[in-house]
Amino acid sequence: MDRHLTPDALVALAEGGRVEASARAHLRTCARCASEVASLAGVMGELRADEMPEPSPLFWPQLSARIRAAIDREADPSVRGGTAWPGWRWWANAATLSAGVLALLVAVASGPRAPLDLAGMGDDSLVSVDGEPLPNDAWALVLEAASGIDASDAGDAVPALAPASVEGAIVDLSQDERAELERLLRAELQRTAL
Amino acid sequence: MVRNDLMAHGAVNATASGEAGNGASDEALVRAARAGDRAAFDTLVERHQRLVYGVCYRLLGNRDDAADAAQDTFLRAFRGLRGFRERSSFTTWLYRVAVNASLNRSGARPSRQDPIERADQVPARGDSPHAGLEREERAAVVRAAVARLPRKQRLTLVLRVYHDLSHEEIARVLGRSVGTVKANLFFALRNLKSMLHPGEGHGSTPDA
Repeated sequence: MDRHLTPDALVALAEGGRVEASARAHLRTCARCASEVASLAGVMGELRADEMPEPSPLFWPQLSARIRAAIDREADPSVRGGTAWPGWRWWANAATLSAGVLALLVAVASGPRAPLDLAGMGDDSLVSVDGEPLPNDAWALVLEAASGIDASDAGDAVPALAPASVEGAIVDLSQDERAELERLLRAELQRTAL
Repeated sequence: MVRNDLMAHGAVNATASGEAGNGASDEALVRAARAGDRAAFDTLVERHQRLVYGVCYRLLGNRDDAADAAQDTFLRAFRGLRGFRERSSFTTWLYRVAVNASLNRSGARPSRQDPIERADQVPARGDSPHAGLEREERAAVVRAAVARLPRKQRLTLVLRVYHDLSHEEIARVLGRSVGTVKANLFFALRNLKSMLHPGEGHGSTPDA
């Protein structure tokens, strides 16, 4: 093997993983690659030496109790912040969401952009904020329309739209509510001829 | 590492007892929780809170934000449970939710690292005060360097080094190709080397 090792091979060797015999043979004769592998392995060792500080033993039951309490509030519709969105609350949230999405679309309609990282991961597939496939056409429509939008433009366009409100809407809308949102979005997209 | 810790502890410190039981598989607990069994979801929380907190801590750098992000993660998981189609394992899905929750939180406020020593942390066994302080100081330098990495490199590095996920598992969590994961890991290590050992240079530099 005459050429220097690829990044894949360098990382695999630094991690003690399996590589082709030719890569190992090259390593024996190439000081530069051997040095690179040693330095990557050294960094890896430094990282692994840094163990996460162990919280006090009381921390874990406290954390699970706190999570349980938050979910209790979430699950009980009578408690403020619950998942059920009766009547006006659903419309207020849906209106906020659709207005935000539309403002965002209008604000960034011109010019080529980098894709908006809606899932926070830059994934090109249609996924919700939590990475699951989207349940129906409403969200596919939203993401498709937003696929050419830059994240910084999104923030500029809808500064008042808190991420939690969108997130709640995405997770909590019923099928009927999503269908209505889809109808509103399609009508508005047609009207603005984006 | 968090995942190894989880295995070592058997992940059974649960107090809740759903119909699925504490020894039930994640899949059984997910199905029970989806059917309305809150105790089953509580068991999932007990089982995975270390893992989730660990991801959040490594991405956010301090205990308070990590605890908040862990709570966000389980709330999102609870809300999203009915939409979880089990195309990946629950753990993979939870990693993804935790990463997103941490990124949301890190975007909402400037990052801050915990001070070198917190009174409520348990010191490493056998550490003298001096050695412990030195170790913590070096750890703080390493964590600060990790925090300065570009986001994709940082995510990949945290999941690989601190959670021992395979390249394929990381690819599933992050929705990337295995090749991209390997490249991000390589550049993360190289960038860290430059930050932690600035005088040493890069040596061999394959095309990138």
